[in-house]
Amino acid sequence: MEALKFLLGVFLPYLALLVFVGGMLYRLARWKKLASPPMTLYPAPPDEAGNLKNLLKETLFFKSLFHGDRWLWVLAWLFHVVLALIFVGHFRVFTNVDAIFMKMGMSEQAILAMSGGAGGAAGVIILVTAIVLLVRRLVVQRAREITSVADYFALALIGLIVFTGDIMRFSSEHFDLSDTRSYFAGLATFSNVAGDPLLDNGVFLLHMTLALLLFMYIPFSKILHLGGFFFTHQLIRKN
Amino acid sequence: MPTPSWIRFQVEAQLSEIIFSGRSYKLDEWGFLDPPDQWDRDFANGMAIVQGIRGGLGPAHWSFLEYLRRKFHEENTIPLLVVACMENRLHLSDLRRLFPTGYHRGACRIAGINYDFISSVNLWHTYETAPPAKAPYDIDQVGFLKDHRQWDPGFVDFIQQMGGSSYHPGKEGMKILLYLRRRYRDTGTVPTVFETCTANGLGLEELGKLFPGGYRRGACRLAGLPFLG
Amino acid sequence: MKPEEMKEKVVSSIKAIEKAPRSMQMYMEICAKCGTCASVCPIYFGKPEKRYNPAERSDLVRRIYKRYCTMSGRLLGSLAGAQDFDPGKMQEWVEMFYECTGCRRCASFCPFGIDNSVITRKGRAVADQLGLTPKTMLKVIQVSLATGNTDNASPAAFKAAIEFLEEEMEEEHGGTKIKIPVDVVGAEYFYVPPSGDVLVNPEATMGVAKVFHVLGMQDRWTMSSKCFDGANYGLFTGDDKSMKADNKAYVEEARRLGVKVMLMGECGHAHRIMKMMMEKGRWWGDLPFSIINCMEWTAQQIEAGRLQFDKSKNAQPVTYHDPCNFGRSCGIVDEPRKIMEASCADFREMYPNRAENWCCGGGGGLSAMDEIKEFRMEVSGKKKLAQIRETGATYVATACSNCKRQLTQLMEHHGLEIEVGGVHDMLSRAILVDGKAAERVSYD
Ligand code: HEM
Ligand code: SF4
Ligand code: SF4
Repeated sequence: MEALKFLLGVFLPYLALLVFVGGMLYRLARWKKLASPPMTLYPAPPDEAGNLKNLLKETLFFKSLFHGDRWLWVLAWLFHVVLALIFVGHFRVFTNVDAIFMKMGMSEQAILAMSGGAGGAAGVIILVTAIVLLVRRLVVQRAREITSVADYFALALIGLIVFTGDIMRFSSEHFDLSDTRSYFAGLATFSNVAGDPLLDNGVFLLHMTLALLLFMYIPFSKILHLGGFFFTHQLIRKN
Repeated sequence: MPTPSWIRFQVEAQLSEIIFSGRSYKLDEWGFLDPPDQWDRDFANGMAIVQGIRGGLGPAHWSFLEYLRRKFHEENTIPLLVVACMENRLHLSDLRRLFPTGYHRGACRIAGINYDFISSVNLWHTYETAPPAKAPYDIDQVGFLKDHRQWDPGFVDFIQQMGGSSYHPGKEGMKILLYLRRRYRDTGTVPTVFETCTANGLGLEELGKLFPGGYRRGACRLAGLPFLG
Repeated sequence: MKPEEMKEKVVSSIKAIEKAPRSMQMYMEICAKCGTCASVCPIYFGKPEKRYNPAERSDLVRRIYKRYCTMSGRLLGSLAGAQDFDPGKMQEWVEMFYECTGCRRCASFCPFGIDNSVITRKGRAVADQLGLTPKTMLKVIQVSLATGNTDNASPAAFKAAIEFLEEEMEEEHGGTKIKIPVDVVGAEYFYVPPSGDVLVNPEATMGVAKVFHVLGMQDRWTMSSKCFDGANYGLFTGDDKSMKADNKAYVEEARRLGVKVMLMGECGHAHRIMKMMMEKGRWWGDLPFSIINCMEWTAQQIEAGRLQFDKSKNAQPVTYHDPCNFGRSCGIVDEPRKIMEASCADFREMYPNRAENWCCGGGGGLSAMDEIKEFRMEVSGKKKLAQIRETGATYVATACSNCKRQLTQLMEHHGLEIEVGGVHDMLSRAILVDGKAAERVSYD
C-alpha cells in the first residue's frame, strides 16, 4: 500500500510532468523542422494581422466547425470551454489563489459561491457533454464508422476523470482544499509527500492518477490537437 | 458491404437499344452505337432525327459523315474538332448548322463511332460545348403529336423507339399515312376508317394487318394527326 | 510484383512521411475522427458508406504510419489505431484513392483544417510508384510529356488551328481581322490555356483574342505553338517528377519569349500549379514574369469600363460552377462572376458557392476516367447535379476543362437539356467589336 501511494502520489506527478512537457516539446521541434510547401486555402486572410484574427476565431469559437457541423459544434464547444474553465479552476486546488480574488475585492463567501456555482455547473456540463459525445460516436454513422478503440478510450478517460472529480465535489463529506494545497506545495518544493494523509483518500488518488495518465497520453494521441491545431490552421490559411 | 470496383462498373453498365426502320441497334451507355460495325445508312438517318436534324441528311451531312467514317476505319482515329472543320472547309457555324448537337455528340454519333473509342483517341473530344439533343417532336400525354405540322417521315421511327417495338408500316403503310395527312390538311378532320379503306382500295382486314396498333392509335397517330381530331 | 516486395515499397514510402511535409505528419497525428469532413464531402454526400468517408480513406495511410512510425502504434497495435499493410488489399487501396476528387472541401470545415486531399495525393503517389496508376491517367501524362499537350497535337496542327480560328472570328465579325499571335518573342502577355480551349472548344480562346483586339493590344500578346496546354496531370497521380518536368517546359518557354505576364487560361489545376505551387514554392527560382489568370485580367478591363457587351446574345439563364482549384485553392471567385454578369442577361448563383462550392465530382483527374463513370455520375456528381437543377439555368459556365467534361457527362447521363461551357465562351458571344457582337449561328 505504501509503495502504491509512493508510486502514484510522488513518482507519477513528476513523471507525468516530464513526459508531457518533453513529449510536447519533442512534437513541436519535429513539426518545426519539417518543410511545408505552400498550400493556401481560400478565403485566406491577406496579411499577418488577419491571419492572427482568423486563428483567434478558430481557437475561441471553432469557426470552421461552426460552419461544418452545427450540432457537433455546440457539443464540442461547450465541452472544450468547460474543460478550459475547469483547468483554470484547478488553480484553487493547487494553491491559494483566493488571496488574489480577495485583493480584487471579493468576499470569501463570494469566492465559495463562485466556485460552488460555476465549478459545480462545469462539473455537470462536462460530464453530460462527454456522455453525449460518446453517444454521438455510437449513433451517428459517419462518426461511428471511423471510431476506433483509441477514440473511445480518450472519451472514457475524460469521462472517468470528470466522474471522480464530481464525486469529490458533490459528496457529503467536506473536501478541504487546504489539504491539496499543502500536498502540491510539497511536490513543488521537492519535499517528501509520501506520508501525506491526502493520499489515503482513494477517490482523490484515482482522480489524480487518471488525470496524470491523460497528460502523459496527450503527446502520443489525437488529443495532440491541443498543440497541433494552431499550426494546421496556419498551414492552409497563410496567404 | 459489396465492393463497387471499377470492373463491376464496367460489366454492369446499362446497354440500351434503339430501333430505326424496323432494325434494332445496340447503344453504349452514352447512346452511341456500340459495336460500331452495326452502322448502316438507316441508323444514320434515324439518329439524325434524334439529334435534331430536321428534313433528313443532305449531301453536306453525308460528305462530313463519310469523312469521319474514313478517318475512323482507315486511320483508326477521330480528328480534333478544329482539324475536322478545316479539312472539310467548314466554319464552326456551318458545322453547327449541319449538326445542331455538335461535332462529337452529333456528327460522331451519327457516324456510328462509339464513345469509348472517341475518349480513347482524345479525352477532350467529349467536353465539347454543344447543346444536348432536345426531344425532336412534341408529344402530348397520350402519345400523339401535338402539332401535326411537325410531322416528317422520321416521326414513324420516333414513335417506334418510344414504344420500343420493331414494327414499321412499310411502303404500303406510308402511302396510307400520306393519304391521312392530305385529307386532314384539306378538310381539317380525320377521315373515318371506312373512308380510308375505300379511298385506298383496301379491306378492313388488310388495313388492320398494316396497322396492328389499330386505326386511331395506330395509323392516325403515326400520321401525326391529333388525338381529338 | 511479389506481395513482400509490394509491402516493402508501400511501407518505406509511408515512412518517408517522417521527413515529408509538415502538413502530412500533423494530419497523421491529430485527426479527432469527428466525422465533420464526411458531412461536407461530395463523395460521402453521394453515398454515405464507410468506404467513402474521408477520414477512413486517410486512415489507410494513417494506420500504416502509426504502425511503423509511432511508439504507441508499435507497442499497442490496433489499440492505438495502427495496422500493418495488407498487400492483398492493394487494388482496393488504389480504387479508394481514386474516389476522392481532391476538392479540399473537407479542409474548409474540419475543426483542425485537415486537408484530406494531401493524404489522397500521397496514397496515389504510393500507387504510382508501384505502377498502379490507372491507365487512363497514365496515358494523359505520357501524351502530355511527349507532345507538350494533352491533345497530342503537333505545332503545325496548332498553327493551322489558330489560322482557322482567325478566319472564324473574321466571319463572326463581318470581316474584322482579329489576330491570335503565335510564337512572338518579346510579347508582353503569354496566354496558356488548356489545349481543349483551342482545339475542341475554341470559343474561349476566341474570347481572349477579342478582348486583346478591343483593347488595341493585338500585338502585345502571344501563344506558343509548343506550349499551349497548361494541363498537368502529375498533380493528380502524385508524381512530382513528371509534374515538375511538364511545368518546367512552360516556364522556360515564357523565359524564351521574354514575356512579362503569363496569362493562364480557364484551367483550374494549371493555374494552381503555376501560381500557388510553382511561383510560391519557387521551384525554378526568381521569375522574370508575373502570373495571372485570364479571368482576372478580363475582369479588370471590364471594371475599367473598356469592354462593352450585348447581353441579349446570351439571353438564357446561366449559372457559374466554381472549379475547386479556382475557388478554394486560388481564391479566384469574383472575377468570373464579373465577366458573366457583364455578358449574360440572366446570371444565377447556386448555393453554396465560391470557396464553399461543391465539387463537380470530377476533380483530381477523375473526370478523365471513364472506367469509374458510374461512380462519377451517381455518387460524386450527385450534389452538383441537384445544385444545378435548382438554379433552373440552361447553361452552366465553368472555368475548367475537367469540370466541363464531368458536367457535360452528368447532364447527358441524367437526361438534362443543359449546356456546359466556359466563361470566355460567353464573353466571346456577347463582346462588342467595333460596336457589334458576333454574328454567331447558334446551334438550334
Ligand atoms: C482550440 C482548439 C480545439 C479544437 C477546435 C478542438 C476540437 C475538438 C473536436 C472537434 C473534438 C472531437 C469531439 C468528438 O467528436 O468526440 C475534440 C475532442 C477532444 N479535445 Fe479538443 N479541440 C481543441 C483544443 C483542445 C484542447 C486545448 C484540449 C485540452 C486538453 C482538448 C482536448 C480534447 C479532448 C480530451 C477530446 C476528447 C477526445 C474524443 O472526443 O475522443 N482539445 N476536440
Ligand atoms: S473533420 Fe478533420 S478531425 Fe474530423 S474526422 Fe475529418 S479530418 Fe479528422
Ligand atoms: S478532398 Fe473533397 S472529395 Fe476528397 S475527401 Fe475532401 S471533401 Fe471529400
